This record gives sequence, structure tokens and C-alpha cells, in this order.
Amino acid sequence: MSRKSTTSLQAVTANRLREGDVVYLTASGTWSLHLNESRISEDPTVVEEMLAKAAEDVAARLVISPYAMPVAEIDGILQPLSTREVIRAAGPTVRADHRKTQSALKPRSRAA
Amino acid sequence: MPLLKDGEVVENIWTPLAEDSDAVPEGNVIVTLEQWQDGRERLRGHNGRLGLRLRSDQSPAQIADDLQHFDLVALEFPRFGDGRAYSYARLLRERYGFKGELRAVGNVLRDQLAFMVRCGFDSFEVANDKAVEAWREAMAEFTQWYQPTGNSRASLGALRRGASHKAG
Amino acid sequence: MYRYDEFDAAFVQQRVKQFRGQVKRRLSGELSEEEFRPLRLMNGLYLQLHAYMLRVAVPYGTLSSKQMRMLADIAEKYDRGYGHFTTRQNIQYNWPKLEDVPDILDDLASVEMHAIQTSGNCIRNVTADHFAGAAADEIEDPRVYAEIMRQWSSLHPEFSFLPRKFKIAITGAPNDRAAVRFHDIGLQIRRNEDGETGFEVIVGGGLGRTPVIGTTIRKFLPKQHLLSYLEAILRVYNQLGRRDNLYKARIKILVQQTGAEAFKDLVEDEWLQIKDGALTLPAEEIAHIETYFAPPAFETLDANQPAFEARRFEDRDFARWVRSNVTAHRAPGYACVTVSLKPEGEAPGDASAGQMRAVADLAERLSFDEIRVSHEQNLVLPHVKVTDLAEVWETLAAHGLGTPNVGLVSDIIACPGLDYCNLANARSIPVAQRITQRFSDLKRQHEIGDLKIKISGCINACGHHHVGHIGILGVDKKGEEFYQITLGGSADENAAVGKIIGPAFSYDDVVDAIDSIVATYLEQRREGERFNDTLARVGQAPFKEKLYAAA
Repeated sequence: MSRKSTTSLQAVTANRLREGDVVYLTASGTWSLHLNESRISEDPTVVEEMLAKAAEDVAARLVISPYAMPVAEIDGILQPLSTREVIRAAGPTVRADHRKTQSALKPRSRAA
Repeated sequence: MPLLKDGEVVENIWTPLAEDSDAVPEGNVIVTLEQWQDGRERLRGHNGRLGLRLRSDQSPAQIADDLQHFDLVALEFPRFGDGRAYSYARLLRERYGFKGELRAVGNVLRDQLAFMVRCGFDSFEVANDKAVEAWREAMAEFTQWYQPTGNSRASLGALRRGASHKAG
Repeated sequence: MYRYDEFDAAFVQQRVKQFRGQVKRRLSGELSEEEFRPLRLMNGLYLQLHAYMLRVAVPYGTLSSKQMRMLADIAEKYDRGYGHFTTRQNIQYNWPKLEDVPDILDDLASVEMHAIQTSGNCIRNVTADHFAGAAADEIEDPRVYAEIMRQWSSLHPEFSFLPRKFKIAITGAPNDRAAVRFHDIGLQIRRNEDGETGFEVIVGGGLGRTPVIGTTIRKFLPKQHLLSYLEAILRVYNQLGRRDNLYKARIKILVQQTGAEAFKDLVEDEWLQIKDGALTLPAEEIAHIETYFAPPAFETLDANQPAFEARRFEDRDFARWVRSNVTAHRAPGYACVTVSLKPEGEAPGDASAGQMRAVADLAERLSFDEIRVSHEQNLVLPHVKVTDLAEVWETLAAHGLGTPNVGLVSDIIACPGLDYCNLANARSIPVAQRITQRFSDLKRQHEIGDLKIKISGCINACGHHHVGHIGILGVDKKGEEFYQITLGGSADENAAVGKIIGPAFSYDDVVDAIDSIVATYLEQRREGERFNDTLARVGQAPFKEKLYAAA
């Protein structure tokens, strides 16, 4: 199992304003329900840009409460580093009917 | 920031007394509590009207005995969540009998207006023009309140008793 | 129960319309999130880990079947088919969409319900004994005063921007089932020497980061002064509570820092100015509200019911359920049924729409159309005929609501924890589930007897762990979930805050730890001795010894 340096790899997450869903900023500037589709970067300047884009989308009333979160890429699948973000990405651990589908965890086709 | 009174934007005719100034300008002057306490004698001699501005950590109990000198009391709302001045307003109106203009200052939002009116405020330094437009809507949103407060609305309890007396 | 008159109905409808306008202004961009947030909180709408969360008020935990059916409909129509009953007698939906919330509030208003002030720095749901109006030991039904306080506190113009949230609880019985000593204001109905009833007023209790047992500032307050006295307390708090530090802003901190006597003087000085004024409750106003809480038309029945006794004798499962889930009623031939929302394998306090409807049907037919929500995350059918108990049990059991574990080791209070909540450090629900699984044997649970376990996923203590006989607090230790255990807490009239027993346990080890504690209790206890009494007698040492022995 390969593990990239985890200390600075970041994704940007938020919640959709209207629906409340947890979403992740993608490379195309849209917001995806699936962490594995998110844009990630180790470069602080890029992360700043991502947060700036998120702030625009807050003003445009698409999302609320954006922030950067550390992730690791393991065998092509993005994993959050904190338990909180794991649960946030996958749904409550106690109700199987509210877990996000496993198809979201297909390995990424390219690096971020 | 626009000044809202009786549902209209009005001109602000009050001048704050500058810090460290020796001379008191003509006309309507607002002083802080500290300025009042430091310069009481001088200010009482002012031949215009006086207003007092209190911060949210300054209770009007401190000047209850001096209220007759003021035609205006301005109470600060530094943050939406800092609600101390709602109590101060009710004390000024209902306990100390202040009859002058009671002004809410500090970025007042439309959603605070109804609460403020019911506590006795009659003028508002609003955050933006949207609050002005929304004034009438905000005042009309509720036809009846549960609590008796100083703006002389009867409470529901009193109304119900009135209603039951009529019926009975 | 209370029925809205035209004023109440208009008030709620106007509030919904106002919130609809606020949502519209949010979605159009007129209101920023910073401006909208306090407004949505005043309507009980949170942003949580996965989604918005809407907390619906169930005033003093009382519901009709019609209201329960609407809660079920809302769960299905706007949410994911279930709701969660909370430690303040409310219900929470975990997945509503912001744009749907005004419609949800309209649906609620149509059955005289709302989400007003279930969040935010204002006066929250006034909670009461879940056996109010039914319990055998009750002096007077506290819900009369809970309703009076509900009206007084709704959109109170002076107290809608307090330093912090404000929670009031009231009980009408000497056995305190409403935890009044752990609220910002607790009220206990008392009788004075002249036989009149009034209130003992307790201030500054609370759980959270700094658990404190409340102080009695007035031993007996006559009823007509209830609202003026409360107004005095709130006015002192609103002016003097801390505004600079969120974690020191509750009234309990103010009482501690001012000193109880000095605080009482501040309240009484303020009260002297306003008592006998517009807030005085005339007897006729109290009487008017009392009519809504008049006891239902109980039949005159025998306390002794042979058919019931026979069934209990023959049917061990039924007997077991009666022993744990059925409580004595003031009217002979009736009983209070606690509906357990703690079946094995489910999240404590959750109920599906189907389950809610089953309870509604039973209530309508067999409990004078009344349901209660208990602060221990169960439901109650308060007025069931003893002769109907078997049918009630069978129906509940068919819907997964018949677990005979009320008050027992698997009747666990658990906050939503890290599975749902933005504030949490650790999960609590799976810990509750695993403990329940470990104690799966119901016979064993009954042998252990009454034992209250309470779990909080963070220091805010929404799971009330401080007042569990065994309390469990989830903490984050270097990114891992760990659990601190406390012993000896109690929420009733023998109020006590639990004490930490030693180093925390990992997620993997915590269930073994609980098992060990229970085993020590069983070894040490004398005949009929309850957990806290055993603990008081032998101290923590035997528990620690076994717990930390094989290190």
C-alpha cells in the first residue's frame, strides 16, 4: 500500500446551501457528493485558490461553510485523515441505509 | 447608516461630542457616559439638547437619576447576539420613566426591529436600506404577542381575559 | 392537553410566514449566512455533520396521536423515514433540506406544533416529568405551568438574545423525573404548611463542560408570582451573564461567580420592582390553562385485575416487560407504559415512521390519545388500563418497541455523537449498541436491575453522562476515539455529578470496561442495593481494581 505524504495534501469541502449535503470541490469547479472526485493539492497557493473559488460559491449561494481538509491517497482512493471527515464523507456509521454508495470509492483515474 | 424613525428615514440631527474636546458644539450633542461623568457641570450648562450614548456593558441604572437632562438615549448593539440593551431599554422606559427618544445604534437588522419596538425603542440606526423597506413588513408580521411590555400592548393573557369576560 | 386558541394558531402561522420570508431572503442573497444563522437557529435549524438538522419542539414532552402521525408523515415526506427523540423531550430530523423547511413548519403548524426556540440563545423547550398527570406520587400536574411558561417565553422581546441558551424544567412530584437540579432554572412544586402549592425555585444547575447542581434561591414561590420571578431572573442574567466567552456564558457561571446569596439578592431586588405588576398570574388565568390539563375521564376500576395477574403469572416475557416498562398510575386499574426506543441493534431514541404510527394508534385507542416523550429518549403511553396492557405489549413488540429494558443497563441515553454532530469528538451510538449487545441476555439485565448508563460524544454532555450511574464521555486522544468513565451520577432529587474512575478506554476496550464495572457491582452489592448505594458504601476502589488490574 503506497501512502503519499499526508501532512499537506488537502481537499476543500462544504455543504450545499439548499439541501445541506456534504460536497467536495472538483477540478472543474463543480461540487461533488463524492470525496473521490475532489480536487486535491499539496501546494498551499492552489489550496488558497480553491478556497477563494469556494468563497465565490458561498456568495453565489451554492454552498456554505467551506474549509480545507487533509486527505491521504491510498491505492488511488482518497481517505480523510480524521474520523470526523471519514464519517462526514461516508455517512453515519450506525445506519447502513444512510451510508454513501460504494461506487463512490472507485480508484481515481488520475492524480489531482 | 440610515436613521429610521416612525417608518421613515430621517436626518440625524445629533452630533457626537468629539473625544478630548473642550468646546461643546451648538445644538444637539450626544455624549458618552464617561464624557457625562467627567464633564457633568459643563454639560448641564449646554444650551442645546443633550443625548447620551451607552455601550452594551453600561447599565442605565448608572444614570437613572440624571435622565431628565437627556432628550435622547442611544443604546449600542455591538453584535446581533448582544442583547443587553433590550433589558436596558425596558428599564429606561418602564422603571426610570424615560420619555425621550430611545435609539438603537449599531448595525440594526430588520429582524431585530420588532423586538426593539416592543422594548421601547423608537429610532434605529439601520444597517442598510433594506431594513427601511422592510420596516412596515416587520411591524406587521405579528398581530399579537404573549408578553406585556412597555409599548403598551396588552398581552394575550389580558386579551383572553377580556375576551372571556365578553363571552361570559 | 393544551389546544391552541385562535391567538396561538395565528402566532405560529405568522412565525412560519416570517421564517419563510427569512429563508427566501437567504436564498436570494439578501441575508448572508452570518445574518441568517441566528435566525434559523431560533427556528431550530442547525447545520450538522451531514446535513441540516431540524429540532421540532414537543412542549413538555406531550403529544397527541394526530401530532405523532404528522411527525411520521414529515419523516417520510421530507426526511429519511425516521426521527430521533432527544434528552429535552423534542424530536430531531437529521436530513431536511433548507428549502423544504418552511413547508415542514407549515405542516407542523397545522397540528399545533412548531420549531420555535429549540435552538439559539433564547429560552428553550420547558421540559417536565414525563409521567405528569399520571404518576401516583404527583402533587400537581406541572404541565399547567410549563404551558404558561411556554407562552411567556415565546419570542420574548427582551430575552431573545441571551448570553447563551436557557433551559427550564419543572416537576410536580417529590421524585424528580425531570432533572430540575440540572437546569438553568428548575422548579419543583411544593406544598407549604397551609397546604397551598407553589414552587421551589432552583437556579444555575447544568451539565456541559462544568456540571453543577443548582442552588435553591427560593424555597416557596406562590403561583401567581411565577412569571414575574422568572422575568427577574432572566433580566439579571441578560444584563450580567458573560458576553465575551461562549464557554462561560451560562447562568450557572454567573451564579458561581457572584455567589449564590448575592445572586439571590440581585434577583429579589429586581423582583420587588415588578412583582404584582402585569406579569402576575390571576387565579382565573391559571384556572383557564388548568382546564386543558384536567385528568381524562378515568373509569372507576379495581386495582386488582385477575386476568392481568394470570397472564403475568403464565407469560414470563410479559411479566418481564411489566416489571421494567410499566409504572404505577394514580388511578386504580390504570398504568403508565414506557415504550422502549432502545431495542438491540438500533440507535437509541430513534423511531421509524411506522413505529411512530403504531404508537399513535395505541395512544388513540388505549391511552386517551396521549403520548409523552421522556428525556431518557423513550416514549410513554401515560394512561393505559391494566386490562389493556397485554394487547399494548403485543402490538409494541410486533413493531420492535417492546424491549423490556426500561431503566436497565441497555436503556442507554446516547447523544447523536460523531455520527451526526458537528461538535462531537467521538461516536456514542455504536458504543451504546455494543454495550446493549454485550448485555443481550434480558434475564441478566433484569437481575442486574436499575442501572443508568449515559453516553456523551463530547464535553457538551448532551448525553447527560455526568448524571449517569455510569457515565461515558467520548474524547479525542491523538485522533483516536477514547472514552472516560464516571461513576455515581444521579439526575433525580439525590442530585450528584459522577466522578471519573481513571484513565480513558479505547473504542475497542470500553465495552469490556463496562462489563467489568457491572461485574464488580454484582459481586459487591447487598440484597436489593442499587448501584449508587453500593458505590457509596464500598467506594471506587473495588471497581478500579478490577478495571485496571490486568493492564
